[in-house]
Amino acid sequence: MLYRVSADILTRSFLLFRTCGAGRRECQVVWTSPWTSPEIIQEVVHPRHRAHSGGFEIDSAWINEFWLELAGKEEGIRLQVHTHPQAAFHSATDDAYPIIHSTGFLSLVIPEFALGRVGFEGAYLTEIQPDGTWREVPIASRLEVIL
Amino acid sequence: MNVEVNEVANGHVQEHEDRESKVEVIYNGVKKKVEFEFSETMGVLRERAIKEFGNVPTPHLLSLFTTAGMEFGPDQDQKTVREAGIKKNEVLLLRPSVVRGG
Repeated sequence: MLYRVSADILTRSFLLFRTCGAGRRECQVVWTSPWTSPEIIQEVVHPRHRAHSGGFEIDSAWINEFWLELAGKEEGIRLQVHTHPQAAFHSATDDAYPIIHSTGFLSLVIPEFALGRVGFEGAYLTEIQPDGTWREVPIASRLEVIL
Repeated sequence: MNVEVNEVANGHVQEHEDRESKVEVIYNGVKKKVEFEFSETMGVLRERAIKEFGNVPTPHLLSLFTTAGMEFGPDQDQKTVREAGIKKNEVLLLRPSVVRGG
C-alpha cells in the first residue's frame, strides 16, 4: 500500500525527534490512520518511552492505554518511525521488537537523530515479509509526502 | 411446575453460555470476538486470537494482556483460562510483550 503522509506530520515527527532526543538519544513515533481510510496518515503519536544513545523501549502500560485508544477511535498503526545516531538501518533489535507484527507493517529509520533536513534523505524503510523477516523497500513505493 | 421449568431453563441457559464464552481481543485498533472454554489453555486462546487477525508471521512474540496489565505470553501457555482468571466478555489486548529499538 502507498501511504500518503502530509508534510506537516513529517515536520512534526522531526520536531518530536529533536525535542525528545535532543541529538543525544533515539526516539520513536508511530503514524496512525483510520481503518476506513488507512492510506491517509492522520496522526503522529509520540509513545512514552525510555531512551539512550543506542536505543529505546516503549512503556508497557502506555501500549495498553494506546491499544484501547486506537480501538475506540477505530484507527491503526501504519508505520513506526525512529531515529538512529548515525546511519539509518534496521538493527537486530529493531527486527525483533516492533510495535506491530503483521505482514506488510513498515518501519522507517531516520539518520543523525533527525537533525538533518526534514525528509527521507538517508532514511531506511523496511517491511515485514510473510515469513516474518524484514526486507528493505524503496521509500517512494510505500510513502508519498503530500502538502 | 413453573419453578422447575425455570430452573431447567436457567440451567440450560447457563450451560449454553458456558459453551459460548467469548472475550473481546484488540490488536492494532481492531476488535474481534474470540470464543473459548474455561478448561482450554491460554496457549489455545492466544493462538486462536492471533489467527483471528490473520497475517502475523511471528506469533510467539505476541502476548495477551488484560487491561490491568497482566501478561499471558508463551511462558503462560499451559495455564488454563480458568486458572488465568479470564472472565467472559473480558477485553484482552493482543500486543508484543516488549517494543524496543536500537
